[in-house]
Amino acid sequence: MNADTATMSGATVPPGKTGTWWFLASEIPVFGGLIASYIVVRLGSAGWGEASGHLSFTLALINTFLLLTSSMTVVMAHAASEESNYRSVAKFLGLTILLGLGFLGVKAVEYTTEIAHGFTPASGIFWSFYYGMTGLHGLHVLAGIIVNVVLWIGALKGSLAQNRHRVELAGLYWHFVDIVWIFLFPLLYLA
Amino acid sequence: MSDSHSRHYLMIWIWLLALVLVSVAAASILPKAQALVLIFAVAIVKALLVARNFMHLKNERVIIYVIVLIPLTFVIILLFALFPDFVYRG
Amino acid sequence: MSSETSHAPLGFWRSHVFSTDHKVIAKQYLSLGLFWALMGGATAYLIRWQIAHPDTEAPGWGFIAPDFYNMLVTMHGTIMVFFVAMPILLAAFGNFLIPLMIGAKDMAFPRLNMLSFWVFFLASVVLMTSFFVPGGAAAAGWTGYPPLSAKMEYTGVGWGMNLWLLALALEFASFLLGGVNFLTTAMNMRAPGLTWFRLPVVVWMQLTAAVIFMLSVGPLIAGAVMLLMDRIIGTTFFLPEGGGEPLLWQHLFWFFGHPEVYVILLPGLGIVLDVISVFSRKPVFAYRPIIYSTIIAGFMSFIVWAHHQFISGINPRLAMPFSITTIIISVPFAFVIFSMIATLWRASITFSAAMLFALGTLGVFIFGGITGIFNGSAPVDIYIHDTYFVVAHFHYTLFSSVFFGGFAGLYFWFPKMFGRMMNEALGKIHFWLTFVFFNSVFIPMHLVGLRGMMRRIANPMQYEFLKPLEPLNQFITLSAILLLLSQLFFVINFFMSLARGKAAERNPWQANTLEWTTTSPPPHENFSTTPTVHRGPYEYSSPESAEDWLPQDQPLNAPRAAAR
Repeated sequence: MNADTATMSGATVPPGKTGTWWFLASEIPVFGGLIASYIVVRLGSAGWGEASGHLSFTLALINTFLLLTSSMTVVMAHAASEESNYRSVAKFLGLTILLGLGFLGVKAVEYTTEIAHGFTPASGIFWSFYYGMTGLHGLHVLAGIIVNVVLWIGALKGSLAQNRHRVELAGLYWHFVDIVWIFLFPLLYLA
Repeated sequence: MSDSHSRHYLMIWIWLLALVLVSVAAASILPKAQALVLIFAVAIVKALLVARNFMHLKNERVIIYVIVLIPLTFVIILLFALFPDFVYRG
Repeated sequence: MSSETSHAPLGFWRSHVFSTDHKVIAKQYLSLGLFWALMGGATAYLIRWQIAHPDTEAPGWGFIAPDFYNMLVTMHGTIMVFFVAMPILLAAFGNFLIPLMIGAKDMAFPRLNMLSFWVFFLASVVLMTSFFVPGGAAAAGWTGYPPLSAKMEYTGVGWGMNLWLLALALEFASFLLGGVNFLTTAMNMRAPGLTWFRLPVVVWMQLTAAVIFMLSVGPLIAGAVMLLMDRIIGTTFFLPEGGGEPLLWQHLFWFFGHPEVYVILLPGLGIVLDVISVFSRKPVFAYRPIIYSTIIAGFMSFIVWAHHQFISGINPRLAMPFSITTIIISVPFAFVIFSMIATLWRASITFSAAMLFALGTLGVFIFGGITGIFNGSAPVDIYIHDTYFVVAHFHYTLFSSVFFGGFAGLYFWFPKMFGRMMNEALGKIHFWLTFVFFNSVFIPMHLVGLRGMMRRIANPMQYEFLKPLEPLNQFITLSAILLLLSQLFFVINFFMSLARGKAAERNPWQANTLEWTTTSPPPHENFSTTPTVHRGPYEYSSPESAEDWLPQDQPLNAPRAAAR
């Protein structure tokens, strides 16, 4: 291939996907910075096992199940969008949204229980990190749900057909949020 | 819906759930230090499963891998650089 | 005025305010950045007045209280880095030049681009508001170290600091979105024949800066969330009484803070290389090694950060590795500087206003780079940290690339952006006054620092050992006032040229890159047909051409068209 035709050849990654991956690349150091801080501060101080014992392992396990399952449903939505099967897209996006709302609901139960027992964000360094990390993660889940709702409405109305690649892109973001939880769960609840 | 695709995704999901159970078991059965190592190894495996299969990284061009690996590298550098100040004090 | 090519005419609001055209957005960033430059200059004036004539009334303002002084130094740094350098060097020049230089109609995501600007506008409104809330604007330094910044009672600043954090978060979001746009556009939308190594250096620099920014800002976003939580909901991330770690903030801040200075440095260096090449009628010397050096420097910028923390109580074992990496990072930058000099060697140089500013950048940056070596070596830094020596150092490196480099870019691309020529004579006067007064401000500042004057103190005269420095400080202040006044030559030139400058032709500088092949200013969608690129951007004085330039898109072996 001579140099003059080497570019614009269509062999590049589609712009929406490139853009989404760059965005995710910039999010990695956000959670990475927070998690790295948690790890070193925790390793450097004694006695955190006590504080983390007050978390609800069961609720977190449920949340892990909800989020992992929602990752599967959102990639099923993507597969459906590739086949222009918008009823299926709507079904799977709807499931993803419900699972995401479930996640947030469980987190709300967790937070209210913990606060009722006197474990607020001001209760010490472990709780600062707990609320900070899960809170920031929760905000990201909420943002993902909003994006998914917008696409779900588009699937129902039929307007998604012109932009069906967006289901994949929304899915990429959703998987990222799931991967962050994959690390938060053991860091906060199992360690 | 393409059957092979959805079966594949279902398989990955089952593996993910199985790995969660492995982590939970490890936390209750193994001594603390070993449990931690296993749990974080499992977390990395789960993340890779999601990234390669659900995010289709295994079918993407190398440049996408590069875009992800560079910030990961920097985060790991940051993590280790913080050890002297917070873990190895004095 | 934009001419429509493919759709119905847009109204005033859609074509001048809520526009998705990268050229309009670039000018919006430029305008807002220049506004903040005025604010930044005003803070500088008040700071310098207070230092030279402590506790007297500054003409045009009045008495400066110590708390107010803290706010001034904080906001001067914040404004200059985040609200002047970023929008002008990155957003304005990047937005304007990248699509044009790659032969594209616009950015990959034009609506996202528009959103990026309005998020930045919102950040500006938030920052401006912070001046007017009770307690005033943030006053804990542009670096915002806790515990000072974490508890309202330590600075007396309440909502001002929270708004500062919010403004920064919005600014980061704006530039993250912008970075996504720059990178995707360059990866996907280059014209046929425009391979990576046929891109102008300034595009490479913009892209590297975008990558550096996007990958470094994360930990500070995390830190800002943590600090905001400490301030508002009582967490104790950075408060020792709750088990927190003040030093942690410093690491998170500087992990971003150091790469950030290269983010605002690189575009200026790129502008200088391209301007030097055009006005030397010579190719950029060692183009590919410059690109590789820049990428290496970009990578290394992530592993030097703790040199800002040598005396803040870090583990002493961290000092040596970070000193080593800091000294090493000077090597790729030195290479770029030598390449600039080599480009000039035996060239036929035209000393236009743009070229003068480019040469000024080169000279001033060399000086700043040298003092960087002193700062980077931990044993020396123990004595000079937190003195005015550091302030002098970073003004040499930053002012050179941001102001001298920025002015070089403005004088060079003004004809393309606005369709008019600037007044060269006024430009040259602007350069010489700026150059002379800049040096008369900051050269003595090295001495002041070496004699021990600390940063961020409102009244140096309360210290006996600093009293002999008063005449020097007053000289610096007088020079600073003259430096600020000299900028009037630019302001007048800018507006006069916009209104009555000579109409610019397509290619007043006879330059090779693609933006000069279209009209001045370019129409909506930039090119009537997508160019095809046949060569690199630096074929000046090429044996292949009868002229001393050879445009990138000129067909191979075709006779030169008479008029372009």
